[in-house]
Order: sequence, then structure tokens, then C-alpha cells
Amino acid sequence: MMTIENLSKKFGKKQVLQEVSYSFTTGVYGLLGPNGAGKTTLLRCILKLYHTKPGTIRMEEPEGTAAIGYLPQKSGVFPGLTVEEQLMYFADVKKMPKQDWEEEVTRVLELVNLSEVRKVKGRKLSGGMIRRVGIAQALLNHPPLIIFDEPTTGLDPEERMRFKHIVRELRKESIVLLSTHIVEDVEAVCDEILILNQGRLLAHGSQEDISRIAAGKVYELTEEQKQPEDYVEKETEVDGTTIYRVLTGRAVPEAAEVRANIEDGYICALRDI
Amino acid sequence: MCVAGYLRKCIRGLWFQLKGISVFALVPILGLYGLLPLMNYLAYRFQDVSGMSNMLYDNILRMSQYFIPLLSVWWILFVLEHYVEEPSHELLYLDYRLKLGELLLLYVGFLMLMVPLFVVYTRIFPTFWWLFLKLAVLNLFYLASAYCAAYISGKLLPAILLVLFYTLYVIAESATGFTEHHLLPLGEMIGPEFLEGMIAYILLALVLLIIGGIANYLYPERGGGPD
Repeated sequence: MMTIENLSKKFGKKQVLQEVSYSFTTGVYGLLGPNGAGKTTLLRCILKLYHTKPGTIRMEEPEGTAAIGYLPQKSGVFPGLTVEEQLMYFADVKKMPKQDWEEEVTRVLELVNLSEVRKVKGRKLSGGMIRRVGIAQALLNHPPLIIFDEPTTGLDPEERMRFKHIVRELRKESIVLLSTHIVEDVEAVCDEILILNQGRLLAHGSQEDISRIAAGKVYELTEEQKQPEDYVEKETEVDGTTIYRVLTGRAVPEAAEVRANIEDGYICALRDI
Repeated sequence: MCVAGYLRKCIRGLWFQLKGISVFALVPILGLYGLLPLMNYLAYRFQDVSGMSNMLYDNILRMSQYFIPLLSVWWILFVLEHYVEEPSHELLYLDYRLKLGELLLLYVGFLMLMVPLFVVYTRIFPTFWWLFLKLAVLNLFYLASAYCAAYISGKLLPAILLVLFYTLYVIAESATGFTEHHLLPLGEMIGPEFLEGMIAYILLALVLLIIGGIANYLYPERGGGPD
């Protein structure tokens, strides 16, 4: 279990995180928010890369490098090391006993489908492979806390599906924090969702809880029915007529209400609809 | 973690990092045991022909002070690149923030690499152990400058430019005397003269290491801000 209390962070005069509090147990948590919301800052505070004042972070599990798996937003590899050697380097950083390196590296390479390139040097890897090496190093040593920052960037659809499968397995034994812009990724794997904006925790809950934020606010309207203050999510053409899927706080009795989804709830929370 | 464990871990980590830069890791060794002896040998052959007995002495004195400090900082620059500029460098700060220990290990490793060369030099000119000490101070000064420049600027390029500037200035000044300001007096310093001549470099290196250390400690927060 991990608890964060009143976590705040300032850079210069800009308050980037404001009194964020939450308790995490084993499972997968999605961090949703626009650019500048404070997602990466929150993750780096949890990793203790940033000092936070005020605010506390408490973990029941042993702390330190061995207890954390982290995939940063951007991935890199040592050009002259093979994939296997890259992972052995990080196994060492995570203070794994040397006799366990071989077996653990083999395990994570199989998880991310890179077993066949374990002897290939970093300079010959594609962008997607580099990203998968990053995911693999985060999984070394079965860490109780795993943080993924925009994990599916650069992955093809097949590898994104594989990643989601990996995360679903991880929920049984680890706290997994997944920061992403992609609502589809959150829908596929997350047990709970936290919505951040301007450093504040706007909303949190299960997928149903987040969808419920937009309950009664989602309509499909024609041009005549639409008002300027309505938030248009998308347009579709049906039999030559443009239909707008909108989010609105006003009642529209002449239109049929549409079932809300996570993305609707996310936008309602952000825009205070 | 105990000191021995910390050192073992640092050495293993450095091994991976230097292996990661492939053939570039060999440059200091090729420089010390290829380039320098070649230049010394050419000077010796010229001396043999011309009969000028101090040609070899002068060549060793100058060439070693021109190039050895630059070679000493080669590995350090590559390692600093990983810590300062690599896309996923944040991972390298989860364990411990201060990277000076690893850089000092590289410094000591390079000094040990110099020893066999200076065993040969001192067989020819016994006072060259003082030159070894002088180079130990200069290597530390170069390390401190690179460390400080890299972490203050957040980029490797200023560190590279700074150490290149030292080297080119020293070569140009000693070759042409184009200014009266010696960045580094190239003469041999023996006995008490050594401390008088090098104390400024020692103190400046310590100051740069302290400033660099503070910048290093704060570095993980430098990449922060509204994301």
C-alpha cells in the first residue's frame, strides 16, 4: 500500500502540484490529464526525484530502488551494449543478486517479446524495441510499485495489446501507476482513474465512477439543436445530416441521451460541465 | 550500503557504461600507449640525429601536459553524457543522486593507467614523478571543470568546449607566447615549487567539485516544471 498526503510542488513561482492526496493498493491506476496537468511531476515526486514540501509519501513495502520499476516518458539505450547487457545493468542498479540476473532478464525479455534480439546491440534497435527494453527494465525484480509514463508511445498495435496484457497480470501483485493521454489504454487496463488538471486532483474512482460524471450530459444533436456553449466531441454524417456528439450541462428534452463513457467523464471533469 | 559494496557497485556500473560506448572507450589507452610514445620516439630519433640531448626531455614534458589531462577526462565526458543528456537519464538518479564518486573512480583508474608509462619515463628522467603528480592535479582540475560545466548547464557541450579550450590555449600559448598569461606553466616543478605552483589548481578544483556537486544533487529537479 502507498499513501500520498498533501503532496505539493512548486517550480519557481508556478504551483505545479497542489495538495494531492490518495491511497493506492495493489491494482492498476490510470493518471489522466492534459499537458501541464502535473502527471509526470506527481510520478517524479513519488519516485523522490523531486523534493516535496509539504507532503508525505508512505509505502508499506520496502523503499528504495529495488522496490520500484519506472519507465520514463523518453527511452534510451546504451548504443554499445546488447539488449541483455542493458537489462543486466539495470538489474545491478536495482541491487539484484548477480546470480539472479540471467533468469530474470530471460523472464522480462519473454514478456516484451524481445528474446530473439537479446544479443543485438542498442544502436541497431528500432524505436519500438527501445521502448520495449524500457518496459522490460521496469519489470525487473517484480517491484511492488511500477510507474509507466506514456508507456505505449512508439509501440505498434500488436505490442500495445501485449503491453496491456502484461499490465493486467501485474495488477495481482503490484501497484501500477500508468500516466497517459490515451483514454483507450486506461479503459483497457485500469481499475481506478485519477484525473489531474493544473496540479489538482479533480476526480477519481472506478471506470464507472468516471463515466457517471457525464451521466445525463451526453447528447447527439443536429445543427439546429446544438448551442454555442455545448462542447462538441465529434461529428458524424448520417444520411446527409451532420450529427454532433456533445457534452452539455443544459437539459435537451428533444434529443435522446447517450450513454456516457470514460472520455466523456474525463472531459466533463476537466471543463467543469 | 558499506563502502566496499558501494565501490563494487560503482565499478560494475562503470564497466557497463564504458562497454556501452564501444571502441571509443579505448581512446585514452591508445593515446597514452600509442600517440604519446610515438611522439616521444620521434623526438628521440631527432635528438639522436641532431645531438640535442634535451629534445626528448622537452617533448615528454610538453606532450604529456598537452594531452594527458584531455585523455583523462575522455571517459568522464561519456559518462556525464549518460547522466545529463540521455533520454532516460532519470532512471540513473533513482539509486543515488551524487555521481561524483563514479567520476572520481574513473579519475583514479586513469591515474593507475598512467603508472606504467611513468615507470618508463622515470627510468630516463628520474624527476618525472613530480610530473606525474602535476598531471594528477591537472587531471583533477579538468574533471572538476567538466563536472561543474555539465551539471550547471545541463548539457555536455559546455564541458567539452571548456576542456578543449584549456588544451588549445595551453598549446597555443606555449608554442607562440601570444599572451603573457599562462593558463598552465609547463616547466617541471620539483619539491616545494610543486606546491607553490599547483596550490591554485588544487583549490580551484575543490571549489568546482563543490559547485558541481550541488548542481548534481539538484539536477533531477532541473528537468521539472509544468509537464
